[in-house]
Amino acid sequence: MNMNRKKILLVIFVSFIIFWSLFPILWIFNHSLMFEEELYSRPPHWIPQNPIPNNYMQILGIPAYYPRYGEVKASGHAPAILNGIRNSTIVALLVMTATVIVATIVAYPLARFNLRHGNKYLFVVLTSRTIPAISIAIPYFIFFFYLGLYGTVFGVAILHFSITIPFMIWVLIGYLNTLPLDLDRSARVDGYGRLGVFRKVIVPMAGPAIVTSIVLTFLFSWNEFLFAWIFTSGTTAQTLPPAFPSMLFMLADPNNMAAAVIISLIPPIVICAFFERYITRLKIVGAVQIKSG
Amino acid sequence: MTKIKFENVNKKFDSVVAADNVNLEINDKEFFIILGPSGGGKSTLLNLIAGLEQVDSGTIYFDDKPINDVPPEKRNVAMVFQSYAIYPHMNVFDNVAMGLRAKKLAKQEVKKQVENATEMLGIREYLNRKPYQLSGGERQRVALARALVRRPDAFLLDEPLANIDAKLRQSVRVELKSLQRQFGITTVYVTHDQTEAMSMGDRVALIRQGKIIQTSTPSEMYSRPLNTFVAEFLGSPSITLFETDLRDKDGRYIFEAPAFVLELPLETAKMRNITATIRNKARDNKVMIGFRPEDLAIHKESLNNAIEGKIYLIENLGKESIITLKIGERLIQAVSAHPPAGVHVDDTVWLTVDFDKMYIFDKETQQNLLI
Repeated sequence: MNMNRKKILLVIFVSFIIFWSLFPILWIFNHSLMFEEELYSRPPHWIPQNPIPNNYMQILGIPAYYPRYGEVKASGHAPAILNGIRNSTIVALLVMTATVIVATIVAYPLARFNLRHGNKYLFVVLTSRTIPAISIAIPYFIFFFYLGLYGTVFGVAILHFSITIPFMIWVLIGYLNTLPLDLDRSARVDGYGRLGVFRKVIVPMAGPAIVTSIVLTFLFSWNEFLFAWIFTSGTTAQTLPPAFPSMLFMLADPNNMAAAVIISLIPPIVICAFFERYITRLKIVGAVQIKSG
Repeated sequence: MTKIKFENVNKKFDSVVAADNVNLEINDKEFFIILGPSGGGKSTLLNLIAGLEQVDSGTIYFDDKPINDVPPEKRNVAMVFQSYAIYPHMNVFDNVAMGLRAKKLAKQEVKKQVENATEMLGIREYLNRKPYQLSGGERQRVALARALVRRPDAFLLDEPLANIDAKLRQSVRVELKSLQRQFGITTVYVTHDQTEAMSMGDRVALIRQGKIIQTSTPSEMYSRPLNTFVAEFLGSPSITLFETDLRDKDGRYIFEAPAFVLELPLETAKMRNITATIRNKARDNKVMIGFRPEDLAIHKESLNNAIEGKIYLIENLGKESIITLKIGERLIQAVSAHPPAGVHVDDTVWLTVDFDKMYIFDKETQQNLLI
């Protein structure tokens, strides 16, 4: 009885949280399928009465014609959105690839070798995460301006990389520390140098952690706003997130904006759905026996 | 093929001494056991041979070639870890083939050798299984096969039997010993289990806190321990030691303990030698006398020159019985093939000792006075 009541309370609580976080997305999705008149109807329509793809077409720069409304022109913001999708994809993929490769290569020695100043390196890596992003934005702005990296896709990627790399190094070190050291030692004795151990034992076993860092890095880079806004807004390298406030400032059609927001959610959802199955922990069972003594 | 030699080897982990001026020579084709209590530095010695740890000072030689600077992958030794350290992401075949692939052998050759090795250890049918699908004993065989298949110069085993059940342990012990003889590979075997050391080793080194206490054949170590630590470490149930005062009364030698008095029989020349030795070596005539459980005999009737005690517990193991007795405030153990009939718990009994097999140690230095 008591258990049941606990369960019911838990279900209510969880449902509330799910509703709390998903309702805005559902609401935006609703809007993205409506015309402006329906948006302002009273009482509000919880489900669009005549769902239409027009907002998506407009925001992607495709004109559409509907008998009831006549011709609907492509949105003036379409170029910014299309450009943003392209730039964000390039940046996110660049950052993701670079981060995973570099973080894995750096995490291995930090986690496994008895480096003379290993803890100091770790400390430096950690503290670099505690600096507020805005405080490094200004010096970076000056560097980038002189280096010609301001307003370039490559420049944003470097900025994102500088934030993701310490974080992912920590994720990977944390995971590598859970893998039994005897496996490395065994591979050494089996005739593999440190690189061989890395390739044959560490990388395959760190799979789940590597996938986790792929997903987290992609999501971070795709969503990152502050640096993208400071370093790319108004340039050809503008990524997707800074495109939204400029639409807002320019009083764009809210239904078009809703469609743009939904489009920006698709890649993260796809990435999460695709990699989710790889994040299950590798079966370490069987690698080592638990010491009985 | 390979002789392994330690020369003044020292190794410290922070403040813990793992190897304290170790000098050791392991002969070619020898089954050498490193025995000692947990945390005594046994595994460190093995890791030093494998190259997984570096010496702080001293030199390790393989066949008179110093190998301090040779990395583990170039030493051509094989190691079986207590945890087995089987690669969880590979199936049995790939696990066993790891070492051969490192040598860049041809695919066909790798396949042949892996099949031979797994056949020999009875795990050939599991080649496609992943480690988590195997039982403890099978995993252990994978680890052994992985080591054997490489035909290494030396075979290093770190408590390989610690994680398998007692019955299997017995049979693997026999198997390991015969494999070692068959292959003729120098083997260093680390264990804390004196039974394994006694039954398998050609020679044994007993080590405590990084220091080698004694190196000898198992039987020599059992019968002629250098000190009380060695005497107590070997044998199960372990030796009984009594602190006694040695009195010299009118040509008679008497060991006096709070709970008993024993007179040393002087009929034989051996005994007379013993007394001479003790008199020369023992300080203040304080000695510890020791008896192995099998050298104690239990009698129901009162005897001269015997130790009086009370039966505390009788464990019948079938072929023999372990009898725990209370002498004064101490519990000691005797092993007897034929305990006297009609002896029960709480009976008062008399223990006679086999003076020929008596051990005598100096109380202060703990050194064996008879060698």
